[in-house]
Amino acid sequence: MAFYRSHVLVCGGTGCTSSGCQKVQEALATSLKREGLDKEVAVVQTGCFGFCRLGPIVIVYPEGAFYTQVKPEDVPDIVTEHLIKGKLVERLLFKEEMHEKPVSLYGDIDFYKKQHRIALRNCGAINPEKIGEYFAVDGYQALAKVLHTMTPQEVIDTIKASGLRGRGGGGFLTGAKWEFAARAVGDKKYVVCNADEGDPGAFMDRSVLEGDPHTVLEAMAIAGYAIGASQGYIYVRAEYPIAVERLRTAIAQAREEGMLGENIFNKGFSFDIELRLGSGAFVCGEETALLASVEGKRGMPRPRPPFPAVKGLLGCPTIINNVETLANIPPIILKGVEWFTSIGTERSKGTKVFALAGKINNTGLVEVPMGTTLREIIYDIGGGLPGGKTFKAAQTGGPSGGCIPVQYLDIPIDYDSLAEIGSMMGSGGLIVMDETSCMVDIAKFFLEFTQDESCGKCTPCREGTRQMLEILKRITGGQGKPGDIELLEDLAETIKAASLCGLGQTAPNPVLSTLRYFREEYEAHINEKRCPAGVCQALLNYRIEPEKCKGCGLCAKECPVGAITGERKSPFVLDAGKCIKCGACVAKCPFKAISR
Amino acid sequence: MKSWEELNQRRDEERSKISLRRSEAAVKIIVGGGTRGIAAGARAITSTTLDEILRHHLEGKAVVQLAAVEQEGCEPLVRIEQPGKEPVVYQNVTPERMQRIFQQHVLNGEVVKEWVMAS
Ligand SMILES: Cc1cc2nc3c(=O)[nH]c(=O)nc-3n(C[C@H](O)[C@H](O)[C@H](O)COP(=O)(O)O)c2cc1C
Repeated sequence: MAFYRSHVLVCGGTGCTSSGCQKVQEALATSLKREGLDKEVAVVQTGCFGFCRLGPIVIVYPEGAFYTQVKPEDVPDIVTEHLIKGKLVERLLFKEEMHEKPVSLYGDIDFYKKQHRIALRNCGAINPEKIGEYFAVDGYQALAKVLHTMTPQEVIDTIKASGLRGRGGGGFLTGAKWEFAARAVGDKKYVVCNADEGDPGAFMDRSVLEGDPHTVLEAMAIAGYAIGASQGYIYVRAEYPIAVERLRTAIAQAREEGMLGENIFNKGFSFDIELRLGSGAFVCGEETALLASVEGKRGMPRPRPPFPAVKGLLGCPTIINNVETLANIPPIILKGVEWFTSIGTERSKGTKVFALAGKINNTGLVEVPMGTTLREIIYDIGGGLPGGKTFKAAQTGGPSGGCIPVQYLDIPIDYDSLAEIGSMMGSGGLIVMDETSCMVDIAKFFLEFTQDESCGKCTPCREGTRQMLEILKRITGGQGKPGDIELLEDLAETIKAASLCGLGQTAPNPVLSTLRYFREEYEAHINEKRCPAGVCQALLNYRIEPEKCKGCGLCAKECPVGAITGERKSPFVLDAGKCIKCGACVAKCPFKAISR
Repeated sequence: MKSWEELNQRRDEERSKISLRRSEAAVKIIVGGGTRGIAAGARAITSTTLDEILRHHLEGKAVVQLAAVEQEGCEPLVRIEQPGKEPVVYQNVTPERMQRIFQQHVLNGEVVKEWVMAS
């Protein structure tokens, strides 16, 4: 066995792969070899560290030095300075905006210090392609414990007592779901993992699959034991090629080590897992549509009941759980109910992973205890908004959710508090918006998505979302009419009440919640033909205010269509007929003399 | 694998390979690198230390770290840290001396007084 004095961890999640981590890893390998260090220093490819804004990320142990935005050209410095001489490469060390000095060590970074990682515990810490590293962090210990010391009912009771709720959107109690399936009668039963992750912007499930695939396999086997199933399926989208590849590797290694297959640990329990690839239709994340798709049929939802726990895959009792939900199972089994219930709020236990996106400094994945406030997530962990802009709202729950305006920055976030203020947890997408975001435009964006993804089976969703979208297009296009808001509300209520599945039932939420908190923006669009945030192009009228213009001519130089003319030192003029409303002149003007 | 014992054994083996990522080690051996340290032969000290760790099966219990500490005329430097004990710094370490430091100090807990750096 070789003994390495140092491990260099390179992020290999999808995010860092697109920013070039592969090249960095290759450069490290070559450089270490050239310096004769390849027997002393190991390069380890891991899953996502979550700090995607700063990728590719490289962490050097034993020091825990945290290097960000590493390029292949930086590698020689890391090798000759840090790995040979023991000098940290200051210029690559992560710098916290607030602090003067670079923060060198992983454990000292605010972004991580304020997080509590359960589902993401191994992401970025182990090599997901080596089952041995999973063993090292107590991998498959929960499965061993369950098979050796617990009855299926005791497993169910433990999960029930933990209060774990589904992280895929519905928030249903996981233990209760397992109990239904355990009690249901059927010759065969199935465990299905929902890895469809259709929410635009959410990528926590991908991160778990890429960074810690074995935890999902282990949890599925535990679920199989609890309900009496011997077969599991993972429904994962083909657009996640790295996740698919790592799952394949993990399944093969787990079979080889006897963690999957016949008679696991000689305890008379057999369980195996297969992959089913989806093509990335949002509706296929809905559980009944997903089951249809796994069966090889067109992915369309069906009415419930019967619920899948009673009549699921091929008519057999089936539990469907989300990836993040499953990632919580092994720690609950190992550390116990008391530990898990000590984290979170009264009715939402544990943690939740959020995908931070939009107008926020630290875009990426963060896992925090339930009950953390939006302010802590956005400012303490997320590093606030770039350019000192002011917070306007955050959208949670993706296309099924709603927006949270500034007055709720301090409410503790959990399933119930979000529902109360008209949003939802959803799968944990969190998009931050500032004063330059138009709320009508945001609502239109999400409705375009749901309208496009509607499977067309039921009329309220198919036709209703189309009508709502038409109205929103009209309003943002400057053709809004009095009565449009009421019409939107009317349609929304009907669609919510009459749609077959969750897609339609929640599709109007982004419109309803923006109407609830930003009605005056809709009114400005309709009545004054004005977009207060300056986003909706049809409503913008660019004009140079002669009293503010100093005649510097910068705007005219910048204008790509020659719509601005004038003599230097006297006010310039903008030809509205030629103007394409691109905003380039506004960005350039030093005197804020151009209004829109 | 067919038993829980086997799994536990495997966990312990695998854990020793990644323990340096978890700051669990009981002994920290810090070799003074830096430009002067390297010139004075610090790299040979590092590889001797790694060999000793392997020979005595201390993977997972000891970590070797380089640090850019320098002290003119005293290179190579080696600092040994153990929880609950005062750190000890040795000066002018050679691979042969390192072997004895390892045997006497790391394994048996006795400081090799004659090579300790004068403070
Ligand atoms: C339109 C629609 C899309 C959904 N997409 C997903 C998804 O991508 N991933 C997921 O886990 N759950 C998704 N769900 C929720 C699933 O139907 C189901 O509730 C969930 O997988 C159950 O697992 P959990 O209890 O562990 O959350 C979706 C639901 C709807 C209505």
